Amino acid sequence: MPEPRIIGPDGPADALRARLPALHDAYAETRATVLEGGIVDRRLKELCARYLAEDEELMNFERSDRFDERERAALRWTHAIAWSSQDADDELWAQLHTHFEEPELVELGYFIAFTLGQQHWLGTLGLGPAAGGGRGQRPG
Amino acid sequence: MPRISYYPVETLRDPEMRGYLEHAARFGTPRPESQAVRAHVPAVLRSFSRNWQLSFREGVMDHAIKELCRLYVSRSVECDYCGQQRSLSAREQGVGEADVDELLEFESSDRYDERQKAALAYASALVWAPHEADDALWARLRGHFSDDQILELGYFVGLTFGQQRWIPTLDIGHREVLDSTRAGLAPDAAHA
Repeated sequence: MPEPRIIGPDGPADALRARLPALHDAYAETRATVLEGGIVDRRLKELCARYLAEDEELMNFERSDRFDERERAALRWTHAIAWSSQDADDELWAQLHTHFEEPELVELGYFIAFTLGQQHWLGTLGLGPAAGGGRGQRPG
Repeated sequence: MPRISYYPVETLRDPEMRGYLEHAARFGTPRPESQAVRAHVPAVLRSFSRNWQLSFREGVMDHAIKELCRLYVSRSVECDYCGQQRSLSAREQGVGEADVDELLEFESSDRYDERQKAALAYASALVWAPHEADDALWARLRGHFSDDQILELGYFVGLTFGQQRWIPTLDIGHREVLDSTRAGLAPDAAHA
């Protein structure tokens, strides 16, 4: 079975990035070294990317017994980054430090942030999971 | 205290990695603290620094407009760490403190021209409701920018938006790494 490819390579998005060759190359390197490669296992990153994309199977992860405590901590941080930074409190950080080394936290956090930004950008282009909605109420 | 320790940047030996930290100390945006967190993973520090250089400092879109959009994101998602930073290049190009104050009310403000407002409207849609980037907004953008400029602006706003959602969870603060510099800080933060 091939692995799910939430992250890419994604044809239309790459075609758009290719109009800006230097950025396309920087993105390609990021994909190889951080998004798909790196020190945190790819399946966990895929899980976080699916949560950002509001995959219905994951939105109730707190009440599901399908996920272990490491995955739950990663998903809680994903939620805090995308929707509610104040949820990244002492308790969550204790969980994160229990299950991850600091370099893993840096890579995972950067992965979540980078993927969140790409999803929103592609959403403005009618591509990807963020095309359908937003993440809260704009101020002002 | 930061939730992830600052990497001891004085121990960095790789010239490329040292260069990213030295640039942050001299010019800011990004400041050294966020880079010292990323430095735990060289691939992350390199990824961010390259994407940032190419989409923010360089590229086909006006840097000053990208700085306004960066600061709109800061105000909008309340990333104080990022919102207290200023691009020195954008300042030289005329972006002043008064331009920052009315960013959340940019549509009704007479401080911004139609070109700036179109870019800010796109940034607002990207952050808060990507589906609002409809035909009308695209027509508005294309009245002022080429498709390549719009693509670069979107890529950049997406990059800074993601970072500005991540950074508030890290509890990092200014002048906690390489404290010899106040480069790229807003006046209030520089004199704090």
